[in-house]
Amino acid sequence: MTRAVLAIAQLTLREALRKRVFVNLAVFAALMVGVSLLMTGLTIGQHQRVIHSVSFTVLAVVGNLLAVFLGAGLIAHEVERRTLYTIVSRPIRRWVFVVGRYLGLASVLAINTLIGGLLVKVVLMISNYPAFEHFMVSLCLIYAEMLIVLSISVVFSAFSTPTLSATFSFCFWVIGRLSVELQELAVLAKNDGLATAMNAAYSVLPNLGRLDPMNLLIHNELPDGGHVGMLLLYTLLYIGVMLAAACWTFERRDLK
Amino acid sequence: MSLIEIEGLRKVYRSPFLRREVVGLEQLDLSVETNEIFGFLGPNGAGKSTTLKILTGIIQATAGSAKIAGQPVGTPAAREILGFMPEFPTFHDFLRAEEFLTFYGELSGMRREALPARIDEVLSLVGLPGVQDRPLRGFSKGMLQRIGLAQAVLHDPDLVILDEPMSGLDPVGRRDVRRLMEGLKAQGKTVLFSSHVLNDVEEVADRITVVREGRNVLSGTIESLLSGQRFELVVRQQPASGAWTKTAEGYHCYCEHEEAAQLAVRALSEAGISIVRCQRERRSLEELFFLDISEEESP
Repeated sequence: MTRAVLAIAQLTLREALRKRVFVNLAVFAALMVGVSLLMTGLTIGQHQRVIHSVSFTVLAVVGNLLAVFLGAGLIAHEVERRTLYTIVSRPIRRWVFVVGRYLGLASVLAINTLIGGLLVKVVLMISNYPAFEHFMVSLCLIYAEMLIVLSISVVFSAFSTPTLSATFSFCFWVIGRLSVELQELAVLAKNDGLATAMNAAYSVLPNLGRLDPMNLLIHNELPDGGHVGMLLLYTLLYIGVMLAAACWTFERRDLK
Repeated sequence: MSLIEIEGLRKVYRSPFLRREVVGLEQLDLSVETNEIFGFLGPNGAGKSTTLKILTGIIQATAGSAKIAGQPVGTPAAREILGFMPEFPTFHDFLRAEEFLTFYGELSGMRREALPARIDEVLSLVGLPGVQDRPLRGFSKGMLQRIGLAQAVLHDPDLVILDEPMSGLDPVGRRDVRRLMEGLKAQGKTVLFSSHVLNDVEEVADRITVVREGRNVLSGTIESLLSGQRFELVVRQQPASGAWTKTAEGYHCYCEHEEAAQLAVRALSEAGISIVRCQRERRSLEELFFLDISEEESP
């Protein structure tokens, strides 16, 4: 089964390369150069922080949009194009396909994040600024967020159309970014039922705000090991649950 | 034990939002023996593709049972011995032919070092030698059909299921597919295929079944189904009695059954009339197919 998973992951990576998914990096690079030039003229003494802030935001937005749209088509596109017929008729379980596709897209996003990070470093070097102390940790947080968003879009892709999957996953990403607000709303709510609903939604929805590298950038201090461990565990658990749900749904689905 | 055993298979497609149900298969019984070419016929919407999709694990049956080599369909064990080409196959067209077949070889658990030689072999078998480095994006419809056949037989499966393998092919392509099926049978393999091209089915199939509205309406060997009850009798001179029609060969008439034909032959011999031919009438599959449809349609 491992070989089949790797074959599907490799197919996914090859598809991304041949369909020029990484063209987004050119857009990102152009944005970065433009923003750094603009900010040099607009800010005093905060250039380095602004470049970091803007670049992390753009990298996260572009990466998560990629996760939403690539993840949404991960199964749904294959069902629509009927390319799955010859794959599922092989002696493999359907979860192999889901996991293989997920790993393939996760490696696409990893390459994207790494090259994006490299571009930021180049821009900083050209501007004669040192890179932020926790630069790599910030990239890892951005990547972890993408992996969670990708796993959510895979769940929707397992039973819905590419358009609906992308719409749902996009909404989940936005809500996930703001899910802390739900907890605060629950405290403020005067109605018990509403407070319970808010708390329940907070527990189920991803808490992507925790993975925002801006906290690191502002405080310039790494949280303690226990907190990092919890973040890592949270990310892995969330992805695990989402992938299990996607596999369970896809195993039972008729591919009409 | 039959290689494929289907009993009381039923499939209902449900639309969850509209609460509408469409019956794809009503009550299908079918058995396919080892080392035969089995033709699966029926008008559009009869349930042919639905049956093949259930066998290959693409969809699940609502009721009934279907087994391949004793294993329930839908399990990887049932698909171990299976090669499948769907109707109007579509593939990952960003791949080159060799990458495409390597991918399917790896999914089937083939040894990596054995793949290049086997890929060359199957590409030649389906009439696409030397296309290893060409991207599928540039393939014509006929070439895609052929590469679809290549992926179906790549891992040397014991059972090959082909959904409309002749569609989109020119006469040469159709002949090649027929030869491929015959070649597979000669190697001891079993082929189950659906087709609308009745002449091709007649030429290549050992047994057929005709389905309509999700049920079998006709099954048997090609020979038993195409042989009619009537006997055709052709003589040189016109006999004194009977309804004889003049043709280029002489005079001919039909006897409704074998005993009547034997009596007629004896009488003609006694009368000194030379008999050119006396044989059981043979229908074409097309005649049988339309006869069956018109019987169903008549009130």
